[in-house]
Amino acid sequence: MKPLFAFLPIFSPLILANVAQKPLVIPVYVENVTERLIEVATKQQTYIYGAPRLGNTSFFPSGPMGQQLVLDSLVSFEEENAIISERAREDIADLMTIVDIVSMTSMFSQQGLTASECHVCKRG
Amino acid sequence: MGDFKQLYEGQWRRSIPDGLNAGVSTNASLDLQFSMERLSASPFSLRRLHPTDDELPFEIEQSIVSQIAGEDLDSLHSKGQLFFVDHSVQLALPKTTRYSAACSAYFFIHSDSGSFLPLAIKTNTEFDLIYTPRDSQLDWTLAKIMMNSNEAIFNEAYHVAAAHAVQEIVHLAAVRTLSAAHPVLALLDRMMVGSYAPRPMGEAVLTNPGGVFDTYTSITGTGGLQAITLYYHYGAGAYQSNYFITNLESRGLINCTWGPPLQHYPFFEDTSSIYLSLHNFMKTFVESYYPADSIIVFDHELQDWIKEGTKAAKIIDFPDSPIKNRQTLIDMLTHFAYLTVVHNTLNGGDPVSVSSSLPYHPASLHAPLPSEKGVTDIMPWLPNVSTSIGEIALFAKFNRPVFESSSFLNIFNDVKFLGMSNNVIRQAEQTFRDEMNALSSRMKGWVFDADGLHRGMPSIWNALDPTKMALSSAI
Repeated sequence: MKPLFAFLPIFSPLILANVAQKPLVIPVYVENVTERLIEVATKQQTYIYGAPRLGNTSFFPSGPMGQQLVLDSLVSFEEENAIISERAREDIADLMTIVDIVSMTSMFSQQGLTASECHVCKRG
Repeated sequence: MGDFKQLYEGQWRRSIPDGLNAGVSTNASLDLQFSMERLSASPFSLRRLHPTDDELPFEIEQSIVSQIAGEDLDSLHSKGQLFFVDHSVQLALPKTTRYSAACSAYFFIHSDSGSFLPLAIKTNTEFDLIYTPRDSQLDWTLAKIMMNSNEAIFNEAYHVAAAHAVQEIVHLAAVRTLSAAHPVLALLDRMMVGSYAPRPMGEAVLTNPGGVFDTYTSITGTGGLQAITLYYHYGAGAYQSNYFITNLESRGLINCTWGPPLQHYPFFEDTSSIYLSLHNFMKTFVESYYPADSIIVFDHELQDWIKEGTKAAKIIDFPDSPIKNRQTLIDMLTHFAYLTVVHNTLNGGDPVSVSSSLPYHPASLHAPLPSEKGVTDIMPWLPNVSTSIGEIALFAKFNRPVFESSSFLNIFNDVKFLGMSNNVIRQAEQTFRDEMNALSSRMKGWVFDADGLHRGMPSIWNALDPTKMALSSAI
């Protein structure tokens, strides 16, 4: 027979949502100790130490809730990145209006590149 | 070289609205700008050489040193006025088709002026040339560019190892051991908002085959990963030994008993202000939930976090379990927040506005390194128009100038976090924000002095303006 905690991942979203908005309190003053123990035990099974990312450094979140944690970050990253990338793209388009002048009239011309060859500008 | 200005002036108004730091465009060629960047925008590679514990890493002709410093190398060393940066480890990293040196460099405090200045740059490559300010202007400028290019690689790799990799594992250990209703986890959650994206995104666009490392730097993506790993395990990944004051003291940069103090130290000055405010907030936070040291001992979740950190999570140099007093927790939490300052120093808006600005900080060199001194033109080593725009655009995308709600000013100002907190914390948050606003106002009022300097630099370094920094290491 599996121990009780083995089934916790199945109910983890419900368990974790239930405690998310309560006033902050250290466990010394907690009355319902069981609820808090179950919550932490659930997290032990759903946030796992996964393989390091971007170099062999510290562990990276894995497990069902760990992956959700990462996904949440990626969503907010993409939202900000879309804004700043669009601004950079527009800035590059503006810069293109002078790149021909720069490359033709300056020392850059010694390197033999014109705006029509500028792959970054084309890519935008 | 001045033609590079055309790629900046009046440009990038949407993505880099503040432009380059004041003075960078005109003064990047100056030795004082080069040296003072080690004390501002690139502050994590420098250390002071101890007169007896450190041997001289390399020799320079004494007459040349005397012409530059007014005294010889041994004298500077014995008086604790000699400093060193070492990027020779980059020599072993896998290379792309572009080029780089693996520079080590001496800096020194001038006995007469007290200025912090460059003394020599050694390339450590096949021809292993040693450059000094006594060389021709073009040779010396190329040497400084080679050094800056190595520093840019270091900054990018070091910030991943020192900030991202450390904050994430400390937080993950907390998530696994603390209830969501535990005040420490709620605080860490707030400081980590969005922070798990950079490592997978880095793999996807920076170190992947054909990614940013392969496209712009002299180090392959694989080399970038090796650098991050190396820095993490040889210092950057440690927790307590990288506490703000501890780290700077260990490198002989502050409170040095065997050498004179640095006349100006912008990174230390700005971070000190922020660190003090962070520490005050953390003190209030911890003492409001733990009225006495004895209560810390009985918080089993907190103690499980410490134990988990030192054992299962394998955090390097995490405090020993159990912690027995509030001061330990205050210092731990302050350091966690300070790591976001570390991140913002090396990433965020700093690269695009100074530490990776062109033409003096290219991501790589575009011609083989010279076999001897006497170059007559530096342009072959610099990026062309296409690559220059690509580099500027790359770092522009790391800039976060417009998202005020996610500025460092608001690191504790979150409806959810404050809603779950007590009134003491809410007041402390307001105090912190007031202090950061005041600091920002002072920074925005900075101007050059009569000598054309600001804090000893020929540029104004303001990367740690709390209204410009991001509140988390989410980039």
